[in-house]
Amino acid sequence: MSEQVDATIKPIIGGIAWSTMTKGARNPSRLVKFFRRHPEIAWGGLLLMIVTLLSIFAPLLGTVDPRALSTGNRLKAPSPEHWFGTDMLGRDLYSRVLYGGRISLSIGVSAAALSAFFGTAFGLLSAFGALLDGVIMRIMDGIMSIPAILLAIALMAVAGASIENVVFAVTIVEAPRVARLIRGVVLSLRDQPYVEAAIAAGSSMPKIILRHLLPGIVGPLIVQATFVWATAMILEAALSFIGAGTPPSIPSWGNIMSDGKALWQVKPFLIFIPAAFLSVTLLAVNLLGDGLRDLLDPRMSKRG
Amino acid sequence: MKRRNFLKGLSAAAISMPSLAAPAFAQKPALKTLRIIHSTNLASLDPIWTTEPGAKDYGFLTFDQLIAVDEHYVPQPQMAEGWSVEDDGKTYIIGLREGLKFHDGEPVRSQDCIPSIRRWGARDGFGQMMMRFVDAFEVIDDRKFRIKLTKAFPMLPAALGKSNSSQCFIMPERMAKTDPMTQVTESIGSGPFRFLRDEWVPGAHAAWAKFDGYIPRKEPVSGIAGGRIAAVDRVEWSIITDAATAMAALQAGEQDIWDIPAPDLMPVLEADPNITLFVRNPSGTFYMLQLNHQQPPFNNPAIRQAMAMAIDQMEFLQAIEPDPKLIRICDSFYACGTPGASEAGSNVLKVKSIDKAKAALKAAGYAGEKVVILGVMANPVLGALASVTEDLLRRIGMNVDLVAMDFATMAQRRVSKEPVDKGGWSLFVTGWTGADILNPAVNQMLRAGGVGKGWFGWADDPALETLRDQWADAGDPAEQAKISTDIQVEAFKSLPYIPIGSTSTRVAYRKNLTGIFSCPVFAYWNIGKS
Repeated sequence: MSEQVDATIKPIIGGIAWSTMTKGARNPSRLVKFFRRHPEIAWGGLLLMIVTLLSIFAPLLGTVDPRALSTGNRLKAPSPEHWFGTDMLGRDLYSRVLYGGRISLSIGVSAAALSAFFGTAFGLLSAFGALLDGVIMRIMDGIMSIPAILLAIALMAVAGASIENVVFAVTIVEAPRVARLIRGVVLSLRDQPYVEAAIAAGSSMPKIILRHLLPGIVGPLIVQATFVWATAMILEAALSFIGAGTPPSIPSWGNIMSDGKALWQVKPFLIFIPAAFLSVTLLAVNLLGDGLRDLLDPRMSKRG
Repeated sequence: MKRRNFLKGLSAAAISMPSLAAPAFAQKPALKTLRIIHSTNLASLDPIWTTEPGAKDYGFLTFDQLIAVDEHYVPQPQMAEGWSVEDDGKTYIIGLREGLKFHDGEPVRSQDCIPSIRRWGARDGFGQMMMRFVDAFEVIDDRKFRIKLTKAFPMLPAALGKSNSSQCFIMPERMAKTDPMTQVTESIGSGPFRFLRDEWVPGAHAAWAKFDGYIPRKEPVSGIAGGRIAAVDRVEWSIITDAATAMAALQAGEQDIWDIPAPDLMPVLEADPNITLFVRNPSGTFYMLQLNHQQPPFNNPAIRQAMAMAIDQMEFLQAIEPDPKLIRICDSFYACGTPGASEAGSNVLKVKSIDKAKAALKAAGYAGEKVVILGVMANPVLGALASVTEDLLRRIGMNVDLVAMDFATMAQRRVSKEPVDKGGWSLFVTGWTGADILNPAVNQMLRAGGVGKGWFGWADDPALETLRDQWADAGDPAEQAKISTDIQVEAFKSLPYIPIGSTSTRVAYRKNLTGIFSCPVFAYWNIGKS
């Protein structure tokens, strides 16, 4: 992080926390201290890293084609041959869960990134456009008034089942929440003396936004993005569970659970294992989000 | 007012008002209501317009037939008192039983029966075959009518009494005069149960009440023939597609019958002392891949052949039935286990080679056209078969898109003749009972008259149609058997559909049910509760 950005962010997100993190990254002992002070970030990051690595390196971890059927081997219990057993079409559950992580994680990250991008854009437009504010915020209110899962189902029904459409649906559901947050933050930052000073000095609006406002919203945005990430993964799993998410031939954790739901009484591992991976990942993302919130906004810290 | 006095007054008011005092269940005593877990939705009230399983089962509850086949598939009088054959088989005179009524109280007349037969004959494969021979219908009186034929057609009673879709159900004249291509939306039936339209919630619930004006036959029930006695006051369907939910409801006694229990849950049901499993339809269920002959890539016969080369029926059947004893490989277009079935011409199904299929696909000029599979993923059996199909096509190098949907959506989309990128389709998996594919007359998927005449997929093979006509014209059973084999040989060349084998299916029901009988359809008459 350059000194220029550091200097801009410092007054807003808490100089002590920021310098601890950045300096800790350059010094291992400081990093240990940092993780001790922020165990949520440590545990969340560690768990998330494990799940992500398992998914990325799935082809090297003894997996087979997750879509390959072997109907003669259906519903096998976990064994040395099939670590997590096989599903009702004889597909290797271990391979499906690891490859499924790629889909679920990438949908979560993509939806979080897109929601953050569009939410920020609409939030900034709303905060600075007197006329636009009313229009944009009423549209955002309208979208937020519809329960997220219902809106997502409706969007998927119109757009059809595909990974891209799941990301699209989750983005539409989540972007308004980000927009509302960003609008609020920008409205409060706009009245800060250093922003007023920049305006008085004749800085252009794009420059004010880029130099003085955007750095101020990075903290809340990162925290909100982690929550969108978790919500996106839950929404994807819910949509796929009811058959409205990713196409059935593509393994995602939601799809794998959907496949196994009919037999949960007789073969509970079919639903328990993907559910455990999803739960651990959600826990990790939420821990990370909580930890980042504490780090970036010391007023919210439980440690005071 | 003191609190005690208020409560006294409230109690007295409740007692004086039976509708408040009586618990709700007293209005619909459980013993008088047959509660059925129905695996498929009831989306249409016209069993002539569609062959959807929901509409078929609705039809048997709501309507009656002039003639009905018994357990040996021999036609017996049903609404008909009987029939006589005159003029060397060229005239049939059918008389109606006395006192038959529709659900609106109007009597059933010849004037109702004739348009009902005409409408059915315009849609159903066997009906179309029969109508080729019909010269005229004549009303003799309200309870008697004549069918004059151009040539003797001994299968006429079998056609009118067939058990498979579409059946010749008798509707009031005004309903029966609806254009055969337009869906009937009214529900005035002629059968033992009256459809309660106000209670119908598509996708969730349907209900019928016993029709007091129905007069059942005196003969014992046999197949779909004999006395159709309403042994309960109400029949209710709960549309439950989730197998775990359905099983829990049956085990808890909240439902009485599960029409198509998931095979993987059979061990749990078998272990339950309150539940009986029963093979109601001994002819079994036969599955097939229905291909769209009007759109690429399956409008190319060589591509259809290439796909058939890759098929190993066991791969499909193992995916849906864990018990090998209930699986039957069937390389025939007719129901294996019946006299008409043989393996004649089925060499393409013996190949069972992905590599050979790949080579054949390349030689056929497949250029990566998208194959859209309509996958009824809500149904564990059809969903699994769709997944196996998707995997198979992917392995031979086809560009596949498996689209998940429920049965009703599939039934709507399969009507489309458009290209796949405009809402069309390439193939879907379906299942019929053995009774539905006994011979060329009842097996309407063997129709190959192209758009307008064939079943969904609209196969177009004039040679197959000619053979079918010859089969209908043949008077001698031996000659019919030979032509029947020729039809199969031709069908394996043009592949109107691809057979993928059969399984024995069972129903699961609570032990307190009485009167469950073997039947080629899901018939709910004669079933009571103790």
